[in-house]
Amino acid sequence: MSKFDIKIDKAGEKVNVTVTGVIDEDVDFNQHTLTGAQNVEIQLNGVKSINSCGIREWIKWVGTAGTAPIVYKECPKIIVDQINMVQGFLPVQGRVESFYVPYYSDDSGEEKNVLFTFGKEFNDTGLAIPPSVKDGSGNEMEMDVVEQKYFKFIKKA
Amino acid sequence: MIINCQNDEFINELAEDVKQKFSTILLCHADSLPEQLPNQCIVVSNALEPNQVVENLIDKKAAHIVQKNKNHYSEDILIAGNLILDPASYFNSLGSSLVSDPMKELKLEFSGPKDKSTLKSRVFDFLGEVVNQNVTESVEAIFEEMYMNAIIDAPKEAARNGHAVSSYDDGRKSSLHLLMTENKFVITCEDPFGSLLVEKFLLRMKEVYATGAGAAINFREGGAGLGCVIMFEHCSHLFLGVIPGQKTVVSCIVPTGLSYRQRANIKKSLHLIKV
Repeated sequence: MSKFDIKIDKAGEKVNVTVTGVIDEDVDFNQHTLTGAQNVEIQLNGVKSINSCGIREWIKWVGTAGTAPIVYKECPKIIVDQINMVQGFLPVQGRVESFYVPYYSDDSGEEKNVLFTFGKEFNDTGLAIPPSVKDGSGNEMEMDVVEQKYFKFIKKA
Repeated sequence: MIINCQNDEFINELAEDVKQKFSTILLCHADSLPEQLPNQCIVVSNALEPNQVVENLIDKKAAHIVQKNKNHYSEDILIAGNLILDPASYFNSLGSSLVSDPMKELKLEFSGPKDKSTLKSRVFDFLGEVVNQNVTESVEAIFEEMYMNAIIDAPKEAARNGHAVSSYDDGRKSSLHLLMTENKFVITCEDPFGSLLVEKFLLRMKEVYATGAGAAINFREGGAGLGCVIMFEHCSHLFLGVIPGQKTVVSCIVPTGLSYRQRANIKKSLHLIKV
């Protein structure tokens, strides 16, 4: 089981944060306050799961950044789900720089996560042309999400 | 079965023995519910969004909402009928009454925060390689909420309600039961407190759906409403059973062998079980 870990790197006015593991009732963000940061970038690729207690702690923690812009990078599906479902999970001054989209092959049952990046696969107005993704046998894979639901947050980005 | 439903598709697909078995139960479509629902009633639909399922349970005081999806509608009605006629079997079976012929099963006990990581490893071992990524993610999310309810919220709520039992100090334990069949995974959690207040719980779920959760969790202790919504979002069937002061038994069915999108399109069923 992946334990929670957080690394904060202050580079001038910018704060780079990397969060990994499980965000649950045991996390303690108190010693990692974002107070005073001018810009915050949070790398989320290593987050394995988050529960309702973790969500609450997360919202309180990102709130310590005040009005500083916050950028979420490489959000896995579990984070995208929370952004879409929980108001405040992505603060009003926050935006998503990149996130993963699950793809599925009906032919082989193969699953892949494909990174969508702002300015390439999506922008402020919605999705650009989605990339063509193939499974190990060369079959075309399909985006494995309900688009209306999964990409809902893009309008907020 | 007493059928109050204009739509033939909800009647024709029912197995004859199911209709015969539940001669006293009213089967009623969500679009044409009477003012007052009898106790023995199953509400059916194929078009309710999760928030509407919760609203029907609150506003119409329904206890069983079954949504018709491909292949297993008759089986779902059978489960609901059995829960109405014999709710005790649900409480005594730790979820086994919800499936026939499980291929694999595992029972685990726990009583404190120190048990979590072992328990979670056992759940993952049980899932093994046979399920795809979306099932693993859902089972993990459901496990997290069930565990937290049993260890944190249930004893707290029991103490608040003045129940005789409100801690694990006297050696009591909660149980987790995992069952796998060819096309579904059932996860059940039983705690020894029976402190879940179903009506309050449903209202919190309704609030979470209405407010996008942020307002509901920012200003209050406990996250039960959000936790339950997370469980509901990750399963196709949610069962909430309470014997006040004795036990709370919660089960989720997660369909296997489907893609994320196929799963997201499944209409959800919800059951409240009382004795």
